[in-house]
Amino acid sequence: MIADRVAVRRRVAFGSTDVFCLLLGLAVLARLLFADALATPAVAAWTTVFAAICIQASPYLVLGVLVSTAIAVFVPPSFFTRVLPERSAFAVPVAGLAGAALPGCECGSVPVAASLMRRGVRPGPAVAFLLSAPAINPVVLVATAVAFPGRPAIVLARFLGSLATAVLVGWMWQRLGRDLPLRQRRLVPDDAGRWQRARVTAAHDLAQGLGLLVIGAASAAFLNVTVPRSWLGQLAHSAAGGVITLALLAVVLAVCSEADAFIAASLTQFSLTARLTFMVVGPAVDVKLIAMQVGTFGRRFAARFAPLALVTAIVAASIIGSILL
Amino acid sequence: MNARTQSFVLLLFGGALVRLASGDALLRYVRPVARPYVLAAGIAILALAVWTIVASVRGRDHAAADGHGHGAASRAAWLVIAPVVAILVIAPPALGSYSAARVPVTLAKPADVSFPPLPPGDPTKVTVVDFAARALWDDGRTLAGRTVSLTGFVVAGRPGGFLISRLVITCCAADAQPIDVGVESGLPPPAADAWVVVTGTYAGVSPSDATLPILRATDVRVISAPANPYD
Repeated sequence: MIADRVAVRRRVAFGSTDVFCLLLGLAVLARLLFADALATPAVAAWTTVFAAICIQASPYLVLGVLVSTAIAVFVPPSFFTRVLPERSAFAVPVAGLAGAALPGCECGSVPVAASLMRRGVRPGPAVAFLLSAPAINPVVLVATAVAFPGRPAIVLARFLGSLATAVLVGWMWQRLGRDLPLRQRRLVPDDAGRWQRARVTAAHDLAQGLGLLVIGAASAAFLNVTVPRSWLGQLAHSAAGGVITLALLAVVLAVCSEADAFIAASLTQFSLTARLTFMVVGPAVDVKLIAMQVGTFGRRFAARFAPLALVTAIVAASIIGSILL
Repeated sequence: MNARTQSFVLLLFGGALVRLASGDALLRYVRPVARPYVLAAGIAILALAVWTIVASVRGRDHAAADGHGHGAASRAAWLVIAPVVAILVIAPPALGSYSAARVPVTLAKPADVSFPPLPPGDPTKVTVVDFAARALWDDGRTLAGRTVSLTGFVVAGRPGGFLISRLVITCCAADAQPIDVGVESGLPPPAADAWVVVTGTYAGVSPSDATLPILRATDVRVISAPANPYD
């Protein structure tokens, strides 16, 4: 009886493919009906910046999903227990330094870190990797050197500041995050072949990662187009005010870690330490990362992780900046 | 969302990336160097989507394809339609005067301020960024006595002329930063966002704004937007 009713409802209800077609039809209709509204400068600028972030980030996300799929399907869990030291106190810095090997921006490191956790890597080392991978890889450091010519101290300060943030948060997360297990998932039956598992995992992670990126890109584009930059000049005068302002600007602008050095270089009204803070905070916490972390690790994870990473990054950057710069 | 709809969404997004990467529209959003990466990402996404659709038509993936147990994960995938609509249906123009007027101009000091002489020719083409850097960081020494032509878009009128700008991007349009040049001309200013080639001579920095170089124009020509709108 119940089975019958379910079957009837199935036949009548829209399938997701129908909803998909409906949405596309509505989008085309909206384009025709609201052409004027879409052409207003602010809306057009939002659309351009939103699409630009999605386009720019998608190659990194694809790379991240390929790496995370490889970890999930082709690397045996025993590999990580073998390469990572037994004790978290040592495993966290090792994982933090390993982040230097993944040349991507922050969108790619979220699925990789999730995949590491599912493969039995403990939360501390996994978040150390999550924080360090987008911040201290060679591509980002070279971009920083190009943006600040003749100032190698800034590259060193960025490397140390980001690594310190990753390691400190990793150690603290070993205590703070241990009661937040990543939900296990079964996307494919256990008897599925490797390639079927790889395909299903990659398609799922890619669709999910892109969807979460869209939330982040939409909010970053909104803030990018609406927050007046002239506010910045007034806040640049005090040292602490400058550091806090640029830390929050990094969260709000959500530019790629490969581009943030050039933005930082152009914010000439701020102190070098404030600009260092901008570059240390950006790859660790920003609105698009928070959206991706909520979707991937859960709301409780992000609610604890983002403030912890933000405060640690500000403190680490301020201390290292005042010593080195 | 079931696995097949998920692959349709990916198919659309991958298709949008490939379509962008094979034309000039890409340059409204990112730098030309990103083209091969966007193309590769688009092809990879397309391939994965086609592979999944083929497998689902052949009746594999029964356990995973009924859409249960994914929760928030598969709901997020619906949002991937948004950038596809933005790219293919709305197709917004490149950033222009609205963004240029919002973001303050900051021209960081280049590594090497010993600028080589301008190439021969009269007038000679100079980018807005190069013109501003030579004016601000070298007191316009290499510009003295030369006639140059600059290409940029009109931001707004100003007393005695108008302001042109060029947006510089490092990765994508989200990090666009304007470089402005004031144009002195006796003519009425062209409409905002019009692309112009202005020809003239360097006339020092603005008395009211030491970061704004001035070009005294002898000729202002409205042109169609260049393929790469950013510097």
